[in-house]
Amino acid sequence: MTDIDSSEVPGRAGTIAPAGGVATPLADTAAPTAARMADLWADPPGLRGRIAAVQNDKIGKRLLYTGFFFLLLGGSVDSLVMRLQLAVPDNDVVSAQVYNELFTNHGSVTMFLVILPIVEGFAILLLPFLLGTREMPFPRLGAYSFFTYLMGGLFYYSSTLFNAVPDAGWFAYTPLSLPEFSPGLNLDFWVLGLSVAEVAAIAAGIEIIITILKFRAPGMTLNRMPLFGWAMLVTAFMILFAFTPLIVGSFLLELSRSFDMKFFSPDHGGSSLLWQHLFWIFGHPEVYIQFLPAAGIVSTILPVFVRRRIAGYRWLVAAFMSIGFMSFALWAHHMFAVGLPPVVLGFFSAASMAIAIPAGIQVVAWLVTLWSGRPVWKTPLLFVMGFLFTFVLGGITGVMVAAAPLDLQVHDSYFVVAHLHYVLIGGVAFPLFAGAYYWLPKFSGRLLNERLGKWNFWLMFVGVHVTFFPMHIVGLMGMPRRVYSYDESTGWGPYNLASTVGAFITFSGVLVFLVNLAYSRFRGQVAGPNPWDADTLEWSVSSPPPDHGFSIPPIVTSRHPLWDQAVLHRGDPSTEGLVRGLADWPLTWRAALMTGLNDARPEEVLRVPGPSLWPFVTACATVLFFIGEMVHQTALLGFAALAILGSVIMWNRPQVRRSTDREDTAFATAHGVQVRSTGSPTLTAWAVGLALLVVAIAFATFLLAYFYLRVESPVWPPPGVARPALGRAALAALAMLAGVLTLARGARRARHAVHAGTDQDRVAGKDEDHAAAGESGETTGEGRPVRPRGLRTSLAVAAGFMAVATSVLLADVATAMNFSAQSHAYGSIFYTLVGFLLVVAAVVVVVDLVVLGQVWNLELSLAQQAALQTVNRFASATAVIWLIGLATLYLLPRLT
Amino acid sequence: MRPHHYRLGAAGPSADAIARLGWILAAVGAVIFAMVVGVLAASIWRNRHLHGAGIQPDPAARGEALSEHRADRSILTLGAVVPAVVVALALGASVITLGRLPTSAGAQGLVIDVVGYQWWWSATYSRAGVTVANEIHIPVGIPVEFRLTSADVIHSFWVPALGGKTDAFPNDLNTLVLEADRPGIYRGACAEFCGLQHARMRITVVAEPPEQFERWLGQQGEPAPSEGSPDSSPGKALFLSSGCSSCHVVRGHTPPQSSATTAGAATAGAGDAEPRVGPDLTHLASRDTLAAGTLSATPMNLARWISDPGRLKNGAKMPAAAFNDADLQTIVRYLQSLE
Repeated sequence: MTDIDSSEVPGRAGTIAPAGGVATPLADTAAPTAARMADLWADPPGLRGRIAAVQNDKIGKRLLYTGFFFLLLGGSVDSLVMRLQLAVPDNDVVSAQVYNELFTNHGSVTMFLVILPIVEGFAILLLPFLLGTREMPFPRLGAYSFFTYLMGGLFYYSSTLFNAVPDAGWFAYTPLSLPEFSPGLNLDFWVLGLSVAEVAAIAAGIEIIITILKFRAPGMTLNRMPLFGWAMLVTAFMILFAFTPLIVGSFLLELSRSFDMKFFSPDHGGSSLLWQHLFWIFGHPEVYIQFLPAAGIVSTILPVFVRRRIAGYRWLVAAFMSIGFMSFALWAHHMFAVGLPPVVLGFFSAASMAIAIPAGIQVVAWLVTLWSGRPVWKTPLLFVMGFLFTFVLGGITGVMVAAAPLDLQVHDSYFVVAHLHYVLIGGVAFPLFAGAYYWLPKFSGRLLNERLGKWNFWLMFVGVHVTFFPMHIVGLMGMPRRVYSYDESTGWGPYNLASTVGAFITFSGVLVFLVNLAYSRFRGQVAGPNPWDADTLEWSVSSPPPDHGFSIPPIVTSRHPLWDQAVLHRGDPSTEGLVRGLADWPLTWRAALMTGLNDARPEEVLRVPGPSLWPFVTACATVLFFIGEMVHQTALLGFAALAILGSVIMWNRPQVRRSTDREDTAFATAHGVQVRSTGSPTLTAWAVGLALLVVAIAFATFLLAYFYLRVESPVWPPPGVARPALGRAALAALAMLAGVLTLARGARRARHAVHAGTDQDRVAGKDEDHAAAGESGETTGEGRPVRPRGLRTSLAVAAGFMAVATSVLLADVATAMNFSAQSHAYGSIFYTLVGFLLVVAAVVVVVDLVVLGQVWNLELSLAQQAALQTVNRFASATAVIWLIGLATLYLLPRLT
Repeated sequence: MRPHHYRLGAAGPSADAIARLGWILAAVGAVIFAMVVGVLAASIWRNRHLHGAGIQPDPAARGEALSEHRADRSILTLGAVVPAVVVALALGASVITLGRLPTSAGAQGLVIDVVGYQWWWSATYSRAGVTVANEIHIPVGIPVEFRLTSADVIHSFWVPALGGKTDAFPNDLNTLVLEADRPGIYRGACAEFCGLQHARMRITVVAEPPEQFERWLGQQGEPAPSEGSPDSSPGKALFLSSGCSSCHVVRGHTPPQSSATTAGAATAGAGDAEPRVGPDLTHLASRDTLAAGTLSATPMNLARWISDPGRLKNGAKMPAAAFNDADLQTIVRYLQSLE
């Protein structure tokens, strides 16, 4: 039976989803358990079913295919045309304009639309299998992420149709990217199209973090987690910390372009360097966001092909984490030539070079593993070897460019082009190819051809070195980047010709890969469950695996479970009973197991959402929103915003129950875990926490922009602008505080009431007296309804206070200011920060009212209680943001 | 003199110091790379008999050949300690080099104000009241302080034979001190992507012995050759009457109020309130190239350039001039006379 709400997708053959909400099988009640499980996790048929599909294998594969498609477009075609143009001096294959579009596109597409989605695709596809769980916690978020990424990419590429291809480089430096120098929609396509893809990256990042921390198989302590999991954990956190500032920066750039704001306009107190800081605070971590997953793949694959455990597991984990932290402290090495003081140059030189230490630890750990191993020369190992060879060279040139004086010479020359391609192709693409040869058979059921694989590797390996090694030399000879042409007298010709030849050799390797994919699909050798005799959990299931992965979730007692454990389902009796129990129940909703953060002890059996069209609708609305912004259609913007709000509410609306209280309680009692058949408050709390982290990072970025502009300005506020009056801001802050405290009080009392109520007797198994209510009622959700006193009043009063706060602040900025957002950078950042505060407050008011509606009948189910705690957390965060924000805007200018 | 092409450490103390650092780092890097490849090759070599061992592992061979303790110790020493030492040395070398790069030209030095435009360079020797474009002469053996700024977007001033690059920002001033050890023509270019014709924004630095440089500067300081040459005077009239002088200065010929540096006086293209600024042409005929290194300065190229700059350098801000052939010849003759 399917797990689809009747309103979303029509029922599958053999099932109905009746209005009453409890699905009843029409037939086949006696079908074998396995078949019912498969049926439960299968997608609904037809096109609608495909769009509604949310499962990690599907989403992961789609991300990989789409990323590869964009690689062919932006990674290959662009670069081949560029190489043809540069093959000989004074060439005219393309014009200057087209060349500038090509390299802009090449950089933007490979950084935003190729490597990142492929990396996230690997993570979404593999993590549930590697970690031994059935699904990711928010499958619909994964689907949303895929659709936004795909449509953002197509939106970006549609610039070709309008003859408005972005042409200011993948870094879009201001003021070149401002309307004065880049009129037309070119840069708007760049900012908005890529912002969509960035939203997708953050969504996937949140999903990946929670999967890794809370969805590992019982017994898979953090210390036993596959290294790919560790790498992705660090990567996902980095995505939140790097992409959020980029989105804020892009937002400021778009405000400058569309609304003539002055953040980056030096003539109006803005700073063109502010953009460079915002961009590289993202831009440098981005490099490691791409590299760490590759390092995780290498660390996972290498042991299998040298038949040895990985050496230095803990060292590798420590290296991943220190790279994650350090990568945020070295962005300015992209800005050595902007005229920074020597002390700053020294600091960023030191920080940039220091990253060679964790990199060295990784390389030596891999070398030690290899030294003690017995290599099995299959294609994945070849790519890993190619990776080691190439990446080390790229790392060495990395230390060279980190030396500030040398960078003054080679910065923005072809030496850097050589360096970054050694790192990104050698360090990232080779491991991704290794991963493709290694893991695709798991999901296609057929091996790739080894002979073609070797051709693929050697062509790419030779091609990459022939292409990029000469670039070091030609860079040292003074060839700058991003030039569409050069004179014969420069003597750069022969080196460029070699690079062009190399590029075509590399591309022929990519073509061989395509041929291999086709070969494998039709003629490939059947893989079987574990063709490599590998050690990790994904190889314990059939190839291709069933949709739900593991009927019986594995119990892990080793870092290399398939090498060390004869049986995967043996553990202490209660855990063993639980995992075996999960094979038979529930068969009416998609169940996953949540385990402890560190010890991976089973905590909850929870329901993960099934197929839904709403993520797709939300993604469409998101893209529509960005399009509306680009064409300056306020009506379209408003419609899209409402559509996003509506579709998010639809996607998250409470699910129809598919098991009774009695069943839930029976299972919970038998196995000593919580059963959350309507959704898990713990999971909600995690998601809310990470979402708030993103909001906090965004806020911090706005503050950073504010203080940067302030420090750069001799007078702040600028001459002629009065310091903002305190009165109404103080009133607004007090009202906000009052609202938040009222809400907190209500939520606390509700929590006490719930704790005194159902939650505990559910675990204790005292369910007889409300079993009847559970049987009859989806309305009450889970458990006996609790009726906390005064909750309605608290929510209503809180909403009132917060609305007052919002209105007072809005009135203040609408009437009391003698400057506009277009007057100068101060005005721009002032109104933008106030706008941020207002939007955050308005969202909390809306959520508060939605929750008020849900608890109107005063019956507080578990789901409603989770919603209540959510709004409470959001409100508390809002109070903090408001106090800091208002103090910055209103108070600080008076103190200095 | 043939333009000098850059090899690391070609022609100035800054470039020399940086080149030395570059070679040191490259040498250390080569040693490390050789070590890594050596270990890789040795691993493959020592296990070469096992190549055919197939994918089925010998279960007894599983586990570690190196004990965990020994493995951890090698990772600590080779992976952390060795890189830390190398990095510390590299950092020391680069800080020392950084200290050797001069930050001011000192009392006897020369100051040149450089402004980057889309897509050419203006250079002003304010002491001598001389402004030139794209070809900058400097004296050998004397530090030169380039004060860099930009009239529009970010550019970057880079003459590799003499030293590193420094960005030129609008509304901001950066300084770069360079010195040439020996005479030569040194090629450079804008190194920060600055729009359509970034590739055609080149710099030529001519380093000359000080006496020769002073002679050159003195000659450039002269106003344009006075009207005496019967060849050039109709051209001058045409130059002044057909709008060239709204962007270009020919000192001594163009009236001061229409000087390009006077904002507002310069009439620009349709709807453009900003003054359009073009290179100072006072001694145009003394330069070797046109349009920031796009063309060699022959009369033929000059005529082609004037009649349609966009065809030779697409996007160049100079509008095409609608001269008939005779007028074009006249203008070219005039410009050729500006030696």
